[in-house]
Amino acid sequence: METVAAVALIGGTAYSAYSQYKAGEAAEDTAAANAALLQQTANENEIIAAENLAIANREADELLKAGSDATRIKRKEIARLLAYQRTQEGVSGFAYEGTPVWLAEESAREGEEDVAMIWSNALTASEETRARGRVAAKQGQIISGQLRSQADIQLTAGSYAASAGKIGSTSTLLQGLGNAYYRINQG
Amino acid sequence: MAKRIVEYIGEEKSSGRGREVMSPYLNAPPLAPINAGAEKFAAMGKLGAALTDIGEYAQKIQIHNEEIIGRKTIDDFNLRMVENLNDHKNKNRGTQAMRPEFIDEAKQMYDDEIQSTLGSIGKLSPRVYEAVSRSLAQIKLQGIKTTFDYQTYERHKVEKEIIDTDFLTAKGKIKGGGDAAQIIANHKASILRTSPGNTALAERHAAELSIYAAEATKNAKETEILLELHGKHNGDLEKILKEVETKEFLEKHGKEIRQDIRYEISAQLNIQEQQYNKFATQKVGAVSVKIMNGLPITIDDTAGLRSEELATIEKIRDYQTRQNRAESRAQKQQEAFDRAQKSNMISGEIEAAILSNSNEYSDRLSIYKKVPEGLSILEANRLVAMAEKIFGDPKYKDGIEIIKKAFKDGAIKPEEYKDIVDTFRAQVDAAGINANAVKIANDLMNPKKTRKIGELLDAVRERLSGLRPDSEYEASVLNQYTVDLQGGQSTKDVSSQPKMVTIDGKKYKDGDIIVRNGKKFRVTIK
Repeated sequence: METVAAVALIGGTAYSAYSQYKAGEAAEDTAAANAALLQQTANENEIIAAENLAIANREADELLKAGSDATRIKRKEIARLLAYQRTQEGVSGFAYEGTPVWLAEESAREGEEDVAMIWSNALTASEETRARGRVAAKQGQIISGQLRSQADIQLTAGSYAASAGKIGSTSTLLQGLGNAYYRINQG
Repeated sequence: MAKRIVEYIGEEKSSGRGREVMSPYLNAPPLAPINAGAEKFAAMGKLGAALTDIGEYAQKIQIHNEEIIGRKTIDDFNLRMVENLNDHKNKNRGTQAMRPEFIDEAKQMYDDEIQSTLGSIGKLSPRVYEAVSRSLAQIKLQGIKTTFDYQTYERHKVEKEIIDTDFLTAKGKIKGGGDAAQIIANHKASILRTSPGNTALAERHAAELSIYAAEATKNAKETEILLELHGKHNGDLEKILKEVETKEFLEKHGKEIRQDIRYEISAQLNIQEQQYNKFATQKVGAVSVKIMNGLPITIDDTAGLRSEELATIEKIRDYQTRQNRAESRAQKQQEAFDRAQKSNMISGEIEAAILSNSNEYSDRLSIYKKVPEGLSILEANRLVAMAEKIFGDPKYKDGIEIIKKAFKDGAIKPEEYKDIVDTFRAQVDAAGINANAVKIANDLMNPKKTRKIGELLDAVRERLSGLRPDSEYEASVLNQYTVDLQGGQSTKDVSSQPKMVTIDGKKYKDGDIIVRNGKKFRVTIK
């Protein structure tokens, strides 16, 4: 009976202490895994943010380029229109209402207004796109920061759990062994 | 216009590059609970706790078992040692009192047993082992103390017996006239031999014996003096006491001896007086019994009594004489009363006979003419004469007839018998029958008899009064009989006024003379 009691008391204490220690370690591992996952997600989000910013910039550049192309096309149309007017007056003898000088000027002026509008729109759209890209990139950075914070929290909690497991297991071990020693030796 | 251009641009497909779309951000990945890994170790913890519980329970069982073993060991040890001690005591019976090694043997016995016991109980936890050891040690201490007390008691008993015997022997020797100093010295030496070092007891006994020796010497001298005094005065204690109180006696024997002798003589006197009192009480008691029984007193009965007791006897004798007389008187009175009771009864029966059936009257009368038991002849004759006078006299024949009729019919018609009633009334008044009746009653000297006679006459009067509606006459008759029959059952209080009687409407006082039919009658009110 004495042996049974001693084995049971010491074994029970050891099991309890070991389980506490291992539980702390497991919690720390879990926390580390969680933190790594969070860090990775944060990294990915930062890459996405950079890509999104690049996309936005490219789109803005494209918008500017498209605007530039449009203005060029528009000017060519105006030039073709003026040339057509002059051609029609000389071939058929038909004359548009007003003076031919005034008519050409009017067409040229209207054409320039359209060009200006096209360019302005392109410019505006491009800036908006850039701005949207910056916002998106900022959002990505914020989310990444949050994830990294969570990762830190996980690491801290894991560290605490590990420490608690070690302390608890030590306490259990000391207490249990003391109790077992007292019981076995003092009865 | 601007809108149109923008839309145009928006639909532009030839920008040279395809449209790119911004990627959405990744949300936080699902995380494992931080203690998820600890759960798999919970079972291990539970196993540890369960093992600990089992260990504690096993430990409790072990402690319980050990305590049982410990208690049983202690109990067995205790019982075994009680037996061992008794054996040891019995083995040394009669000798242990004076054997110092008796205790050492007991101690050794305990030590051996403790060693043997502790060696045989097996492995125990230190706590239980120490508890058992302590208990065994306590039992040992208690046992040694008991043994020591027992030996001390036995030794004390033996020593006391030896010393007491020697003390009594010493006393006897002193009383026998031995050399007191030597006897005391020997006794002291004996004490110190028996109980070495007990000098306190030796000194105390020596002091007691010294006092005893002095007392014995003095007592012997006082006895000698008392014997001399008794011889000189022939045992007369009064005379001895007188001599003791003399100046010469004081000078010769001293104050202390005189005091003792005085007490002794006084005590003897007291005893003598007590003895006389006892003797006198018995004598007087015996004489009193004889007096009460009416037996004669002899000289021997009073021999030895003093004058006070003789005077007491005379008083008892006088008292008894008076008592005898009183009893005699009381007896006579009782006899007279009994006779009167008897006479009363007879009178009552005569009346009953008259009231119930007049035809039986003569038969009853003949019966009562015989002298009834308990009634004097004179009284019986008087009663009979009275009845005959009232109911048998020819002068009252008419009245008797009326009474008979009344008794027979239950009612009388006054108108029908008016003349007869008047005549009868006159006859009654003139004949002085009432006076005779009262006289007879007075002669009988008994209130109850008087009452009965009065009732008899009242019955007659009542019947007569009913024959005539003369209230005045009735009242006069009523008053007359009421007064005449005083001493019996008076129905009227006349104590607060002069005694008067009314006869035929006239009032008379005591001593007045009434003339009726030429005859004179003196009114007597009693």
